[in-house]
This record gives sequence, C-alpha cells and structure tokens, in this order.
Amino acid sequence: MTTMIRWKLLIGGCMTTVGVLLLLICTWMPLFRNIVLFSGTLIPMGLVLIVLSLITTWYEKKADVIEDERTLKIRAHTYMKAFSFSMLVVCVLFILVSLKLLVLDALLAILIIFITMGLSSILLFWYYYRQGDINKD
Amino acid sequence: MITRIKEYRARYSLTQEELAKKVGVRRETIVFLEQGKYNPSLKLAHDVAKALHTTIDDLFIFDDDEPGPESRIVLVD
Repeated sequence: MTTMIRWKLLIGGCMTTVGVLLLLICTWMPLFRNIVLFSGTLIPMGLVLIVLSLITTWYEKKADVIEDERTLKIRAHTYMKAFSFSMLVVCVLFILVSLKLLVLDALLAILIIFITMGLSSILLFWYYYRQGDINKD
Repeated sequence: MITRIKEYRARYSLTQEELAKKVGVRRETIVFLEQGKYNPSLKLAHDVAKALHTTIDDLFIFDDDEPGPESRIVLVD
C-alpha cells in the first residue's frame, strides 16, 4: 500500500467520521438542523474515497502493475492534454450558453465535464501507450 | 535513434521480460526501446547498459544528420 493510498484512506475516514458526527449533532440538537445537507455530502464522499482506494490497492496487488518512467510520463502528459481538452469543451459550452443556443443546468454541465475528462484521458492514454512515447518524431 | 539492446539481449540470452524485471520497467518499455520508439531517461539508459554489461554509447546510436560543433570550427591563418 503506497503512502498516497494511506493518505486517501485517512482523508476518507476523517470525512466519513465528521459526516456521521455532524449527523448525530443535528439529530440531537434541532438548532443545527441545516447542517444535515453538509453531512449528507461528506459521508458519501468519504465512503467513495475509501472504496476507490481499496479497489486500487486490490487491483495493483492483483495485476502487479509496474509504474515505470514511460507509464508515468505518458500518464502525466495524458492528464495535461485531457485537462486542456476539457477546458476547451468548457469554453465551447460557455459560448453556446452565453449565446442562448444551449440550455444547461449545473448538474448536466458537471456531468459533461466529468465524461469529457474521463473519456479523453482513457483514449489519449491508450493512444500514447501504443505510440511508445509522447514526443515521437 | 537505433538501439543494440536486442543484440546484447541475445548475447546474454535474456528475454524482454527478464531484462524488464532487471531494470524495473514494464516489458512494453523494453519493446519500444528496442524499436527505437521511446527515448529513455539517462537513468534508464544507464540501468539497461549496466544490465547488459555495456556502455550507453555502445547501446544507443543517434543518427544525427547535423554536423557536430567541432566540425563548424574554421581555422583562420
């Protein structure tokens, strides 16, 4: 288990604990009832972080994944490109919404950004991994 | 870039997997190194050269078309 995974587990644990404590506080003290929304956000976030960390640990153990310099280099480049592409998509969405050509609510906009970033990361990683290197001339 | 990894690997009867394990990289990295498609870091080049009992100079050959700086020196009488 890497240090990063340990940190993620710790943060996830803390978030879940704080969420549960806040839930208990607002149950016992009706005065603080409006913080229930905050605790309702913290608990799932913490649990997702814990579950994802455990899945990552299990997968890395099972597949014996070696993060060599080529993989790390390609991954870093991929994330940078995926982020740039997502920013471009955000700009296009902004222009479309500003010109009233498209009606978007916050949930849909976030979903589009998530999907764009995730899909572009997977596709770009696959592409660069097949190429051999990121700056192949 | 041309590499002589395959030649040296055959000399020491090493598989790509074995060499990859020796230098701590994925087998695919060795595949792309052999094909000259991946530019390794100085450390990886050193590790591969060490694993194959040779030098970096001997293992990686760069086909530079440009003349080196020493050939640009003009001697003035």
